[in-house]
Amino acid sequence: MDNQAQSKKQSISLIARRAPYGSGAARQTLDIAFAAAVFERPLNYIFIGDGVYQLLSKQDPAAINNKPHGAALETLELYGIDEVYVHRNSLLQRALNEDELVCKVTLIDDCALKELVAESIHVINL
Amino acid sequence: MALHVTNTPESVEALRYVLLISAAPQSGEAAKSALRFAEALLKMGHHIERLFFYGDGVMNASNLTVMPQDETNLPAAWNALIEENGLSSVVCVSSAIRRGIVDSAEARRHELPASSCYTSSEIGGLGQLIEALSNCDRTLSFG
Repeated sequence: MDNQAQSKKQSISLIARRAPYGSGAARQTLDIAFAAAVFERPLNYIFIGDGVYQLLSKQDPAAINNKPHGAALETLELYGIDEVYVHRNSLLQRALNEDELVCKVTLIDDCALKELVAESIHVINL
Repeated sequence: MALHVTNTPESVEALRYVLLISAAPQSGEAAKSALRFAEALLKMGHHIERLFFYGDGVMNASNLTVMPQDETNLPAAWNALIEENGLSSVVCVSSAIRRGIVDSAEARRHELPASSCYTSSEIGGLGQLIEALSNCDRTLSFG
């Protein structure tokens, strides 16, 4: 197996599609991302649908006794996770801008999303 | 579930699967679908590299579930499938302890009165999910 095939074999796409609070999905997806980073596995972190709310910089969930999820996502870069993708239409549909997000992201359209998923051996959807 | 198998197991290229189960047995069809999918995989001659129970999915490993006689006891069915086929089954420790799913070691560590996890599953960490991903051909999440 050559190097490219090896990296494809190990490439994981995580799809975050749920809002940051109200279920454990956002946190559970993030924990998988951290674990993959610790094991140095190539990772695409993709935010679509309500999942884009996870990336908002101004989150204050103290009233519901939660820790701000955006603050945790800010540390992705420290873990070497820099393949962060946001579905452009999901942002537009929610009247959000790229500059309201906690970290540098790559905006992708439907076609790019399809390609990312198709190229990944492992797709985890929570 | 009606399963239409047109190929005999011998003619199918055997693939290695990881199943990630993040739904509780009583919350809809996801966990039940995962069990049926696992059964179908084995029937067709595929290999299950690992079952990984995560989030609410850890409730599938509870050995304290009681169901009416005419309903499926999903945790018991998982336990039977895992034991009969010698499958590797891991329950995420951080999801498990906050939901009261503990093996005897965790019960001792946290000074709890009893264990609640089938011994056919092992309490482990996310590293075991990532490790299994590198050794498999397909990953499916149910949740």
